[in-house]
Amino acid sequence: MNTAAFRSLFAWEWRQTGRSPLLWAVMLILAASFVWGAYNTATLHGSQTAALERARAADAAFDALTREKARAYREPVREGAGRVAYWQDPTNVAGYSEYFVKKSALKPHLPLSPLAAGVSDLAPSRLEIKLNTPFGFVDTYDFENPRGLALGRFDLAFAIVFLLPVGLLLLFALLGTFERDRDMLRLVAAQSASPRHWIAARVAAILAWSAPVVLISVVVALGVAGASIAADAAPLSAALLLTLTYMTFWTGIALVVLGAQPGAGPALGSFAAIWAALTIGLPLAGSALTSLVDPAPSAIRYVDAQRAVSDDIQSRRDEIITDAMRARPDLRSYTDRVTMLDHATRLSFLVPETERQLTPLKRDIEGHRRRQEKVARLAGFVIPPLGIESALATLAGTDPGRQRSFEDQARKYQHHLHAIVRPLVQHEITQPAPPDERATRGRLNLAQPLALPEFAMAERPVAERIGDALLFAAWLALVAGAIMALGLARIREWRVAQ
Amino acid sequence: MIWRLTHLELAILRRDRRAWGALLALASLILLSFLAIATQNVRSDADKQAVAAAERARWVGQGEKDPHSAAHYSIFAFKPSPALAALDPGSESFVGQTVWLEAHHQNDMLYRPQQNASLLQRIGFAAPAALITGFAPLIIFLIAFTLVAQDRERGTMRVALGAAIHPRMIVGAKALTVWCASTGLLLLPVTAGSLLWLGLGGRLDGDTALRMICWALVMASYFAFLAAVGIAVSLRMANARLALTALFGLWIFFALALPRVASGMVDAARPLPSSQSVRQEIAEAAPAFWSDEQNARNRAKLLARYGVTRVEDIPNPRMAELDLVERHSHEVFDRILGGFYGRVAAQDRLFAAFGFLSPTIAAQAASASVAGSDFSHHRDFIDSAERYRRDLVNRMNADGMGHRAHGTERHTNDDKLWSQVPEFAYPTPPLGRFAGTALPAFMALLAWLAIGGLLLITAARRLRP
Repeated sequence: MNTAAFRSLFAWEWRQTGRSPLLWAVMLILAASFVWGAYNTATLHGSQTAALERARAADAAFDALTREKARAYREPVREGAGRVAYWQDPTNVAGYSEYFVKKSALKPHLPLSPLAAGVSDLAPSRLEIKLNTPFGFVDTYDFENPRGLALGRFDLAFAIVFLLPVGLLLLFALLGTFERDRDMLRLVAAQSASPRHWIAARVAAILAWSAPVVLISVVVALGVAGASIAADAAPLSAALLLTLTYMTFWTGIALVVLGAQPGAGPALGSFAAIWAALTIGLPLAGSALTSLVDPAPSAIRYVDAQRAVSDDIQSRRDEIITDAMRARPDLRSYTDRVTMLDHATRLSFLVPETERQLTPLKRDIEGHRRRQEKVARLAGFVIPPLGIESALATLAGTDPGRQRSFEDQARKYQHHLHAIVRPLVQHEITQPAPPDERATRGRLNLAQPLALPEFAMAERPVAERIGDALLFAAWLALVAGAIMALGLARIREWRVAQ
Repeated sequence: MIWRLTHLELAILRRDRRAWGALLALASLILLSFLAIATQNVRSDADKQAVAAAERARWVGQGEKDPHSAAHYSIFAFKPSPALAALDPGSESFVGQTVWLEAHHQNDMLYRPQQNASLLQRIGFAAPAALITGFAPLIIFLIAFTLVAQDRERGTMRVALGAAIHPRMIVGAKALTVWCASTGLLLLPVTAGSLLWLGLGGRLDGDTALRMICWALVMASYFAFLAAVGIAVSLRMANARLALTALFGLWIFFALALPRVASGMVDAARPLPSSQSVRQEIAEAAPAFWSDEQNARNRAKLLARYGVTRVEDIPNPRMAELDLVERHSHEVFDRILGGFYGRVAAQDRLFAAFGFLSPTIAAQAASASVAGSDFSHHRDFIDSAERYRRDLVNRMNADGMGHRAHGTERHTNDDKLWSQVPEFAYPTPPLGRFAGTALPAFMALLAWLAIGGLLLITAARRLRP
């Protein structure tokens, strides 16, 4: 069959396929699921963004209240307004450091976030940064209904990764086996078209109709969800390219299965088995295997270690602080004041020691997490649904990598705050002790609450995120091409008799 | 007669490599998933027990100190995994496993097992119940279709009907075959495995056995409905392609799409406030570190409570103020956090009511409730731990208040007091105590079962040679 004849066959198939109510029913359902998925994620992210704004406002209000208190406590002591305890006093640098330095590290959503929920429903987008929290922040989270988390979110990525192949395979199985089930395959076989050309033309026609409809639906869904499409044309284009490549991958699978010219039943059975293997079986086996080979360090044991370390540090508290002060030329001569230090000043020496002792365990936990994420990234190249989900999350900015970066930056931010505040707290050790009966309500060894810098998250360049996604798209295109070639190569002759 | 027919159908089904293979593959996945989760739970529970014992030793051996400092030191409480968690972990992987029961705070439960899961671990986390509710419909529909399609293709259905066998018998035998095959391979092995596992681990008591039976009944009912629908649709549709399309569509709608859609709709209809705003509200209503101005108000309340005019006349004003603030925080926690958890339970009730739209949702909600792994059970642990925390802190504060301490004076106590605090133990609530949340799901499952039966009877009535 020459090219012109194939083109003519394809055109005929394309016209016939376009008249199929099944095609439009499936497309309509897919489009609706894309819109719901994007809207659903946008709603989640909208509420998270509102929560971040409230956190920002609460921080600002807390800072304002701190400044107001600092002003009020400059007043002299009088009847009914006595001296303020150090932990209530923002003019006391030690009290300020522990009880008034409370900042939020916020991870804003990227404009294309409705594309995939990723880890945004599980990982916190706000971390409370206090000076004396070991390792930057408490391992807390934003509560989402655990039933919903266990079930998984109906997001656009879910619709693309799981529902789109089901819809496509349904079309391939029912439209590609029509002649077999109606006992018309003999008639087709009697024509001049070879089975390879005939099946290829039918499959290509289905793809030719569904691909533009799906891609337009994705854009519409994101538009309905309020994503700024024009501003994010580049990552959006990458997402569309990924979706198209993913469709060609499943088209390749369809060619392999339909090459055997089965009826609708066996075809759907095979498709369902392949779909289930790729979306459930392989991830389940992969996850079980990685857990077996590289089990997660026990979080419960970490609690135990934290408590043991805390006890140890408390029992050697003065000794640890004395050693730390001896190591500092500016504090060396003041070790006789160790027992007089307040809780906040003591913490400025003890928290680094706590971190030092817990670092090996923390490193184990972090190392395991990073290894697992690396394994997941690599597994994505073997399990396309996982790879596509991961790539879409990367484009949406809801990937674990961005979360790690956020947490690392939050930790660096805490270090930055340490560098500003701790020297002031520890310098106070060298100052003469305050009189027992001071004249003002506040201690006044901190003139004004400090104008501490706000956390601002630095983002990876968009090009890098797109690069990651395109790398996977290129790989998937190769795999899809290979599967298509295999599928076509297997179609050699008509199998009129089952 | 029906049993002989069923036996025959089973033999035919076993010869169909595709259908039988699919059943075996899903059964293997279910067992693999069960083993993976059960092993993990055993490891995790052993860790929890060991660390809980260490916590108790630390509490009793914390040495002489101010009782309020002891209340701050307090203990970590650990949540044991529900006995049936390996069958249906429900919410377990997404709720914290431990909580620090310190003074002034009703802390969040920390360390959710899936908190730091990679995408592979999250997608690959499929529990037996999830596999059964999500994928058994596909397999059962395929088997049902195969059984009917084979008869149609070979013309044996016509022969059978012509051989004076009542249509109800044929239809019943086919449905029974599908139910027996699916229950026998997908449900019985994992249930038996679980019984064995729990028995060997010493966790098989009366309540657990009852839960196990109920769980198996829930799943068996679900299978019965699916088998009935699979057979009825395969028989009633004009041709095999249409039947297959309808069954495939039902699977996508019931099992794949609707549970997640319903969950999203529940979130939209009854949204939860953000954790951040809940924490903020609590911090404003019951701050753990209160201001000097608040101190003044507290002192006024204490003077009124003790009926004195000078703080010096209160035996231990510091401890009395701590106690006052602590008891105020209890009311705040009950109102704000209690209200928040109530909204989570309301979401779950609404989700269970969606069981009337999808049997998969009904089975999911009922399964988690019976397995003791839904949020209602988790909240019971939260409440139990919180009651323990309040008792502990109140006891410490009461001891302080009972001893005079002014200015730089400090009252301290030691292990005589610490050991009076009973060890934290969480008794698993008996089956049925929290079934209210999932009640709509149980009712929906019964309704679906009745619908399945009706469909089957109708299909049998309309079956003609």
